[in-house]
Amino acid sequence: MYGTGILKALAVTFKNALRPPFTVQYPDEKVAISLRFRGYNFAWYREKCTVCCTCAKACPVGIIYIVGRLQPNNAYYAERFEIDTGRCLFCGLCVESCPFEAIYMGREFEQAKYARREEFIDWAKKDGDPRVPSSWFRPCEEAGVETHYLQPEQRKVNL
Amino acid sequence: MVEVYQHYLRAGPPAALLTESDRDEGQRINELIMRCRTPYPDQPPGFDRGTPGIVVTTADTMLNWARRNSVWPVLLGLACCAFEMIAAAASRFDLARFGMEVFRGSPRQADLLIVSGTVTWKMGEALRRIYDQMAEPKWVMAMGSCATCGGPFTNAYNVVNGVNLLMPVDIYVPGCPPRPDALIYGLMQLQKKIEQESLARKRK
Repeated sequence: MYGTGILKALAVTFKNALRPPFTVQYPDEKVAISLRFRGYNFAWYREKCTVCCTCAKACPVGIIYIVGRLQPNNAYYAERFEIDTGRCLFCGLCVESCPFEAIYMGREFEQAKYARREEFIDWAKKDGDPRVPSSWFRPCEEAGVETHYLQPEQRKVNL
Repeated sequence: MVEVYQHYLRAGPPAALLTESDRDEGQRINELIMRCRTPYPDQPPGFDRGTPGIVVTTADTMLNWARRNSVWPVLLGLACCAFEMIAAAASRFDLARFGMEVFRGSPRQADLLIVSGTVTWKMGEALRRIYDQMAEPKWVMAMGSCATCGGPFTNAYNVVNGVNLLMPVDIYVPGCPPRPDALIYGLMQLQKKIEQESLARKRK
């Protein structure tokens, strides 16, 4: 019996021809991004940060710049906190290493820039801006469970 | 066999294996490294824009419309970022929606050079030649952290610390590698930049 092979093959072709397209119409419709996505726009919280520089030490490429100042109440104040996302690997080691939950990965990916210098994000300058933290390494965040880390008000800084 | 390998480790390849062309190539690459010390300055959109008249503005609108809707990239993939570029061109993230699906094999017919991946100095020579062969108008996109600034290989002896040492870059897309969506967003930003260009000023 000749011709069965080609009919089988054409059946596959027609099955796929009738299937709806799966192209994502990107600017209008976006791919669902995981809550634990390791993206740009690191969310950094000044009130939680103690300028211990553990993130800067953990960073494999060394792109986190921190300048701290000692306040009269014996706590450190971060004057400068800059991340060069142009060189970042988005490995999340800074987030894993932070002992006070002060830094989170972001959930955005649209960060193309016209100049190299614009790729530095300086969260210390953008204190009031909204943050979109990813729950990478901190699943408590997405579950709404309280964490075991000390919150700033529980920490005794007046020694 | 082990002795030969140990000799390689100790003293490099024996002189008999080093041909004349190897020496020439090494010399050329060293000259390129010496020549490319300072990066090309970034040019944000609207950079040094003159005050064009009505005729130029109308021509600009037409030309920019045509140019930004038919940006053809060079078929060039250097490292792992190239796979994201391929994914962006494939059917799920369809670059053809932006008129960019025609990856040209010849730089003469292309407008956009997507530097997708780590650029070594040995490849940098070829990359610069491809850039020189492209006809004006041409744009360059640094895709991923390696092309932007060397990425994790910044301190390596053989890697170009940012492709802006070799050629002027129009847009930087961060990521390691960037998602296909992020690449498409970068291309959309590039389209916005092309929209603001003018005949009244000289490019580059």
